[in-house]
Amino acid sequence: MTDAELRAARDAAREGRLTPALHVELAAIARWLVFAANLPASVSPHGSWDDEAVQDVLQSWIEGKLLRGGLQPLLERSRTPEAFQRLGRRSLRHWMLNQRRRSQSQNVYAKLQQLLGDASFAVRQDATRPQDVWWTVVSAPDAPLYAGTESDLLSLAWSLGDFEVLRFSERNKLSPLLSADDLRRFVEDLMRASGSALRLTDLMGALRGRFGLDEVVLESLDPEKVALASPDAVADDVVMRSTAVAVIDQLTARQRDVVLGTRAEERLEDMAARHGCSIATIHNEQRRIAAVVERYSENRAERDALLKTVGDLLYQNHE
Amino acid sequence: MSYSIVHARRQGDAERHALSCRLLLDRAQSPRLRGDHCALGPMSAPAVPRPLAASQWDALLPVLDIDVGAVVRVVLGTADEFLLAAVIERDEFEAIVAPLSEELELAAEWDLFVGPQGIGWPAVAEVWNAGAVLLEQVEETIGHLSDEDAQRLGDLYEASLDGTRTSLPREWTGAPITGGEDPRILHQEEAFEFARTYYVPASTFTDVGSLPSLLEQCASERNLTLHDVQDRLAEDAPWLSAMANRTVDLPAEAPATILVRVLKELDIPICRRVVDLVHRQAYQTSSGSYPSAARLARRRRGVASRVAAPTAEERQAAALSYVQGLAKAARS
Repeated sequence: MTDAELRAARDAAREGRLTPALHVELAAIARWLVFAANLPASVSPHGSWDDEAVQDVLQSWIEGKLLRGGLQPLLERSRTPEAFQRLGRRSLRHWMLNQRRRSQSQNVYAKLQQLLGDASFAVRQDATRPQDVWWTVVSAPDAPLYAGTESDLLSLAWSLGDFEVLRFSERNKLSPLLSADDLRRFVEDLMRASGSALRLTDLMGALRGRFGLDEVVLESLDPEKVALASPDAVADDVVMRSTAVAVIDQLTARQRDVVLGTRAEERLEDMAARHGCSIATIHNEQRRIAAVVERYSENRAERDALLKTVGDLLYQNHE
Repeated sequence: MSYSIVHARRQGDAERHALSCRLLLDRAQSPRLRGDHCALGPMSAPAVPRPLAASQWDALLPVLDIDVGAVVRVVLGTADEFLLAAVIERDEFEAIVAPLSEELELAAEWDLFVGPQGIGWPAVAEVWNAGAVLLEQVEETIGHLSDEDAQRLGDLYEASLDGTRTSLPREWTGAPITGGEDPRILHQEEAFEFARTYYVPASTFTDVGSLPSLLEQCASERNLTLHDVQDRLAEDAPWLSAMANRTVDLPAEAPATILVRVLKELDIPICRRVVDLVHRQAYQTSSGSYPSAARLARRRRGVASRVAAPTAEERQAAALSYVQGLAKAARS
């Protein structure tokens, strides 16, 4: 995407439109996030990553986030196409992780019900509807019923500190939002911090505000059907090769040859002679190659590994 | 209207006189200068020049016309990201802005929910993270808060300054932060780190009352003296180091093009704020004429012949002409 295309995309977004160049850029962002940033298969809508899954994620991001007010701030914040790429990747990553949290809301509700039934908690005051029963920790059987506001309870929920909310491995794909230990800590600490007995509705309200969950449909309390998990191992080399293919697509013929020459430890002079150009030109080509590879890498190790894979693929193809 | 110390004291304005009195200025800055106060000229000129009119500012350094409640894109040097912010207050040089964030779920008690009307998307205005930006940093207005949102933003900002609880209904702000373990504190630290860089240009002028003190302060922040800066400019600004010790007649001694180089050398943004300081300094130091090199040398030695001080109008004209030259040099 060029500066002019970014400006055009910004103007169009103010009118609620997406330009073709922007759509291409968004697709590139999605591909990069999936294939180059080693996004865990557990956040894929299909349980693994392939082109179809990337397309699905892209569509859901555009429809669920970007076209609902998420695109304009992204474009308005970006002064350069590079900034847009960076902010876009962050936005898509957040979107995918948030989607996962939201889909787990129902699951959390069921787990919460199950948790309150164990020996650490006691009914403080019964009610007709299960969500209106007041619960307390067994160590404070006479705790008063919570009389504060939802906002105060949310403050307390935030004050409990950080919780690990995501599981990246395929094995834990359908595990609850919080681990059983974290969920227990959350509920016990919230009851202690408020010094009160709480209802399931209060607890879910605090969880919803704290972890950005969807509203729970109380009529359906069945836990999600747990699908069989696929093997855990994410094929790193497949991901790396897909990314390398994307990199190779962006290289010119001369740049590909420079990659091969560098891989074979050929002298710059020889490469320059072969292409009828100066040594400085070959050096510049190496820098451009590095820039392309860096765009697909988040750190030095990734960059080196990706560059090696690019070289290997080109070599195999060359043979 | 003529000013004297007695008159000024009677007016409760001794400082104003001191600034206008060339004798006091020169005596303070050049101990070798001795002479009759009045012989240097009547204390007829007011201490500060007439403020530049809006049209003059527009001709010198045009800026975007923004008003309270505007949602703007703020630029910083070569940073590749804009700060999106809502304007809380503004004057002729700066605007107080509250950064906007889309992280609605991380809103706390000093974050105000705004939009989507007028902006295009729902956001929180980080009142706790408000700061001053130069008007020159405002690149574009991209929307405007609704009148109600703008009013609430002003109210919450006022309350934050007083440290009092706001009377706003709670649905307009996030849940309060009550514990040190709250992860929103980390989010706020990151947001603060990001926004504060955009506030650096305006903060350059905090507590700076004059051009010499600005130059000295900025040099000092780089562990330099004005003499060091003078050396860096290959002696093109021989008057620079002297600014610390005596009154340098800006229009006569310091070509505007060289002053622009000095400002750039010290990374001082050429903005209305600095032009205002230059305007004042030029007005206060202008001798009204462009003396010869020999006379300048005598003046530096403190043995310059006495000349009639220029009138306020002459100074006004000299100062305006000087800042016009400065703005032109900055543009080129």
